[in-house]
Amino acid sequence: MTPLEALQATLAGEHAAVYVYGVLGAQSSASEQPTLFANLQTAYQLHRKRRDQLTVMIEHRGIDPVPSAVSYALPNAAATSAELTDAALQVESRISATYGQLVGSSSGSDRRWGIAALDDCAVRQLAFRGTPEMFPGMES
Amino acid sequence: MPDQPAVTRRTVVSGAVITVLATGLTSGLATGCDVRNPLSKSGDGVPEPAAVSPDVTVAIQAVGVIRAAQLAATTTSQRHPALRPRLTALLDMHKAHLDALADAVPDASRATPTATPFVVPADPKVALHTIAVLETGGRSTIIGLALRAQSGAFARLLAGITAATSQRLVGLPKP
Repeated sequence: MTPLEALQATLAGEHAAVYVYGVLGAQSSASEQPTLFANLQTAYQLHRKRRDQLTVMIEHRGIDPVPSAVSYALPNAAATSAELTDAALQVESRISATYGQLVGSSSGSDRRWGIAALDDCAVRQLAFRGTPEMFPGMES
Repeated sequence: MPDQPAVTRRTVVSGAVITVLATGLTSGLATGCDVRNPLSKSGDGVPEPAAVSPDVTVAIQAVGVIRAAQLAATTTSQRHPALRPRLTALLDMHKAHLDALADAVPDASRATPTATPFVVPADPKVALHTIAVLETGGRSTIIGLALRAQSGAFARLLAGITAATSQRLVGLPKP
């Protein structure tokens, strides 16, 4: 995979993450699930920021960034607190693997950025009841 | 979510190690005469260092950093048994990381003991804080090594090691 292909794949992953977090946030309640709601909102904002950064990184190479799909399949029904938490955990786990792929396919500042993003996703998994892993970002 | 590549940690780790070893092999082949027995002597009788690929050097440095952290956590756990439950997971992680790197480093460096002894603070809170500081410093060093790695698979492995450390740092005092 070329560095540009890895950036495009990561952007595609972030498009999906932003979409899913948008749905998860809409399905949660700020009054009844304040911690979960806050965690989902924080994650949504962070992934939207990453998506925008990736878009700029690709545009700077004179290439059109991969567009978002119209919709994405949710990891589960996303109805209960447990399902919302599990869906968020799945998003973080999958995007961690995508960032791992970016680290392995890039160098220099792109690799550094990918390492920081992978680190961020790995830690955020813990907020969604994830358990520490030996090698985050290595498995899909 | 888009489909992710069906790659397991084991295959990537193996791939990284193979890549590391292959890099050393090909660099040796490319230079031909540079492939020397580390114990062989040049004309003036002075032993010459063996040619080592850059990624093997990175791996050796990563192993050194992890061993130092492992030693600190082990001695702290022995001095302060009450901290053992909090340090066991950290030690398990270090062992897994060393196991993953084991095949990438030459036997000689694997056998080299850690040079600096670790002095455990008498106060358990200070001791735990010291561990957090050491882990944070080690993590930064390994990030630097991941940036230097020539093999992408090896860089990914090192990034996974730093991310795992970050997860464990969540349970330790802020440095």
